Amino acid sequence: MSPKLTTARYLTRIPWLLISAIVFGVLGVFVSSWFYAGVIVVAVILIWQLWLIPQQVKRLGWLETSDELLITKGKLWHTFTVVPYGRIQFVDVTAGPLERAFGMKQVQLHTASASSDSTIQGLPVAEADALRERLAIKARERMSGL
Amino acid sequence: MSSLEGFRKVHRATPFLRIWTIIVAVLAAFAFNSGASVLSFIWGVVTGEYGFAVLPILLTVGGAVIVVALAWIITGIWWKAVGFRITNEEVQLQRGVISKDLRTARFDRIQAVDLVESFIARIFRLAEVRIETAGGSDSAISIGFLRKSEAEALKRELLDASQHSVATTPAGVPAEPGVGETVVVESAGDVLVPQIPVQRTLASTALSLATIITAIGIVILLFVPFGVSIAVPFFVGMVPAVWNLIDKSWQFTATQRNDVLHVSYGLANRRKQSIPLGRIHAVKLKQPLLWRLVGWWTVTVTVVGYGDTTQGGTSKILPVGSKELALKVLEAVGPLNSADIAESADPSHMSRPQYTPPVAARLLTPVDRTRQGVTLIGVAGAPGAVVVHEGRFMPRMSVIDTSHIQELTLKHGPIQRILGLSTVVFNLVQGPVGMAASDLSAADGKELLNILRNRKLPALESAPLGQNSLD
Repeated sequence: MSPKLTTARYLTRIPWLLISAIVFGVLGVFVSSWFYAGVIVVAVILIWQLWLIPQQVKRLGWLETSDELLITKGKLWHTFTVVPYGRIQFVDVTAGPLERAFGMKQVQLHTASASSDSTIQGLPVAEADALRERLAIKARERMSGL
Repeated sequence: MSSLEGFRKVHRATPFLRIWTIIVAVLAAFAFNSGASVLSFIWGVVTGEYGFAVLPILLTVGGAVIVVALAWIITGIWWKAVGFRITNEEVQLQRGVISKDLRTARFDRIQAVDLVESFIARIFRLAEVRIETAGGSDSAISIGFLRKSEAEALKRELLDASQHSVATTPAGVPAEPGVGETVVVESAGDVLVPQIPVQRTLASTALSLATIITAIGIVILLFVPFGVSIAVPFFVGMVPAVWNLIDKSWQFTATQRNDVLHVSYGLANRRKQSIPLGRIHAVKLKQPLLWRLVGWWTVTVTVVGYGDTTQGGTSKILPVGSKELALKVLEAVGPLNSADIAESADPSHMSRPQYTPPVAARLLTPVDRTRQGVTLIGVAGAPGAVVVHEGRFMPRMSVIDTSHIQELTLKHGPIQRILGLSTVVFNLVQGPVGMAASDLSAADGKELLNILRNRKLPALESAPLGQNSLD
């Protein structure tokens, strides 16, 4: 994983919390002091997120074995997904504006299954493209039926 | 519209049938709003109160003629743009006036061919042919409307073509994994499910949760004056659910012919579906709470390409029937043979589960813990099929051939982590059957995952023809 993923996730999640904290603070000053409770709640969530995001990023990982791609993620809700190459229908490589700014891409595997989330986030651009290339080749070699 | 040379046409009435609800609504609204004045006017003309008013009558009749003519011309433009064609290897449907849309399905990608007769089409003796392919939510091709005999011929033609194309490919049949994986092939045209008696359909519906909620709702609404504001959304929500139950099991029959399951059912819309057995992945037997009293079961299947069957098709290949019948259906469509079923697949209780939740899981599943478990069938270490049991009050049993499991996920949430538990989710193709081995001990979960990782994947059903690019 690109270490910048932590920064990117901070940037997507923290500003909203700060904004809502400020809104609650302003409401607390002008409307009712009860709104300070909102500030406290948001502050708790903020601290929680500050701790959680690096943990989540640390636990993101993927491994290519000879026949399968293993993806692991999640701190609280931990998942470990096994995707046989033969099952891959197609691969998406996407980069949002923020990801682009940090030179990252996300690789998403699509199989015929509807219930799984096989996404690898925050890969450095070169690595993401190389992974897609390898997956495409392996999937073609081992392509299986449903 | 010269691009439609060689295409066959749908029935001329199709555009009207497609929008018949709108036509009826417009006519009803018109009659409702102007009915009284028009009637009094006509009455006035007849009684001579208005004198002999030629002009208004001419205007009315002329207006009606113009409206009908316009409708005919406009729908004609639409109708001319629609056509379908069967080539050597695919079926094509062309439509659209402004933006042309050509949808094609290769025969080897056809998952199922259905004949759909909606209520209105039945009045005109027309029918629609629905072709299901493996794909996202809107992947079906609907050809219609056609004369019923023509639709039936087309359906046969497509089925023949798709089976022929599968049969000619060398790797036509999914790899036969493990021991005891033989699908019982009965003689041609065997009746698998004899027609379900109407009384049983009605009784099973009466004993279902949706009906009971509706009935209680009606009683409450009768005695408590909530008014229309609550009654209307309630009925909008509940009545279709009850209706669906009745419709999908009305005079239901299933026959099996040459590895294709033919089912037919329906009260208002009589529908015939043909499901190739090879497309059936997961099978689920379920007993709703009150059906226990009469010992009935229902069998649901996940069919590749059907998705969640929101568009009218059924995935219940036995809407209601005895346990013996349900097991017979399971044997016919599922990966288990009769010996396996007798030994380890009794839907109401587990006989030899290999993985069950440990005692620590009683916090998470206090009621069902001793009723849920996973049984592996076939060679130890490389099982051919998995059976999952769950539920105490509403027993459910799901069966899948291991080769049909798409992905595997081992996961645990915060509470599971504290208790040392994990869940193995079997990611299947989209459909009504979901399977997971819930709340196993972490070691068991890992072991099960590793065993299932050894599963054999089926061979491709058709050679990749250059269109399976992965970009």
